Amino acid sequence: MPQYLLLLHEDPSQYTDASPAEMQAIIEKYSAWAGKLASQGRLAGGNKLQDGSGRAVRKANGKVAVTDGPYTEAKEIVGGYFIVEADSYEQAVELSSDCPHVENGVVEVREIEPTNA
Amino acid sequence: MHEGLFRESAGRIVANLTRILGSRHLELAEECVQDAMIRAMETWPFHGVPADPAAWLMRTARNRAIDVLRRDQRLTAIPEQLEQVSSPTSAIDDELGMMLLCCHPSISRESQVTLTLKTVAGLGVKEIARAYLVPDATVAQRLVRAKRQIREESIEFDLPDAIANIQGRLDSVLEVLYLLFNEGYSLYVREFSEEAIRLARLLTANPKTALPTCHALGALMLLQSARDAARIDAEGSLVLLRDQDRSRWDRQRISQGMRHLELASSGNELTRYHLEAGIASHHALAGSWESTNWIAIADAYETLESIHPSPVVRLNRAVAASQWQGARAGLDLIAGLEQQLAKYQPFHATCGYFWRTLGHPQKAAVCYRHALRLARTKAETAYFRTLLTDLGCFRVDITEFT
Repeated sequence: MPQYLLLLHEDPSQYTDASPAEMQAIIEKYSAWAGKLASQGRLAGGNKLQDGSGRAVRKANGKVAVTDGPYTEAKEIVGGYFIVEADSYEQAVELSSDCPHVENGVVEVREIEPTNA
Repeated sequence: MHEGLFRESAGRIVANLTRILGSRHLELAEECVQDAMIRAMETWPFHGVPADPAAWLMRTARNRAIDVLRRDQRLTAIPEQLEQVSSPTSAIDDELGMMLLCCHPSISRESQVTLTLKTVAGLGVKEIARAYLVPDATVAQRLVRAKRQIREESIEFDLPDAIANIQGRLDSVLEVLYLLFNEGYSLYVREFSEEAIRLARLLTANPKTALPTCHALGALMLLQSARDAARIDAEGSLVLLRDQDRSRWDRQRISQGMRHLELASSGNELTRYHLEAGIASHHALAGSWESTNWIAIADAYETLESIHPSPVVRLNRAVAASQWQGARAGLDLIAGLEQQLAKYQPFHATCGYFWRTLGHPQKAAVCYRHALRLARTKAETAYFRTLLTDLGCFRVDITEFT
């Protein structure tokens, strides 16, 4: 079955003032969503990415150049990702649409090119 | 995860870290808790909730504290206790110590309550502001002021065992819990009233703090909150005590409350909590509004008035007296309180009730309109609207109702 990468874009500063009860509620929403996908056998993985902007590595004038990035704006980073299995793009989008992340951030859905094609 | 786990953990961890690091590091303790919870929010969705989430939060917050202290040049040693696991009994002592710190007599009452809600109950600034109907900035300001005072006046974190005059220190703790409970009870914010009960239980469970007064306050809160399920009807409207379905009262709470009331009478002290708990017990044990021991209740209010004179106590006494002496007697008792209680909704509601009983629907309607204007909750608004409709005096076009 085709796999899809769900990239979770977010503004990490939005939770600085969240109360304990609010944070628990957010975790519960995510857990319920991930749990539902897992029970349907559709969740293939996921991880949190370290905070910070990351590094962008490219070659300039024959030398490797390393800069911060690609997103230097702290308001928008990829905070983590999930890998889900779905029959089609439509279904992958549908699975993402009730992901709690869409309430405060953006979920970027990308199909992973199968290696054995 | 059970409901309120994060809120409770926040209170416990702040208390623990504050005891270990000292009250001047209260803010650092709060930051470490916030960091640990954000960390949980970032990682648990991917890796699942750990087997013991409370222990995870505690460990993560302590590690965070160790990191911060290591980076801080001014501090040389990391307290060893940060690396040791605390026992459950010491966790309760920490919470009691935190309560005593938040309610220190030199902090203003408003700040005591706000600080207790924030650090002991683990509520957020927005949640406190919403319940008290004040701007977020007001709550934030009270917190800043209280914490500055703790720092500048070196108000120490002391465990109950280390405090010589525990009775004196507990007085302000009880007042804060009483206020917290009343706010929760009158605004139907159960989170507040239940937290007040939880904290009172901590006090009564600890031999050092289980004074008769604490039992009295515990009894009062348990007996009164036993009515919770019957206080709002299916439509979300207020149900007054006299109309409540008493089969929905929490019998278990009532018997717990009665037990505390018994323990409260072991001393020779008679406080307002004793009297109010006694009144609540008369209601709790009565089969109906009509068969309630009104004479005993009116007596108790009279005694209460003598040790704690207040127009609100007088108002309650009037309601009790009216039950066996008639509504006219009730009105006489509250004559002259109009000015002092002009902004107090129950005053107008009670006047309306007296006038209606005496057969003056027009006068009753005027009072109920005042009450409606002062209503602070949806349940109250719904209740007074229905009353006015029943009296044929409800006009939908009046803007004050919208």
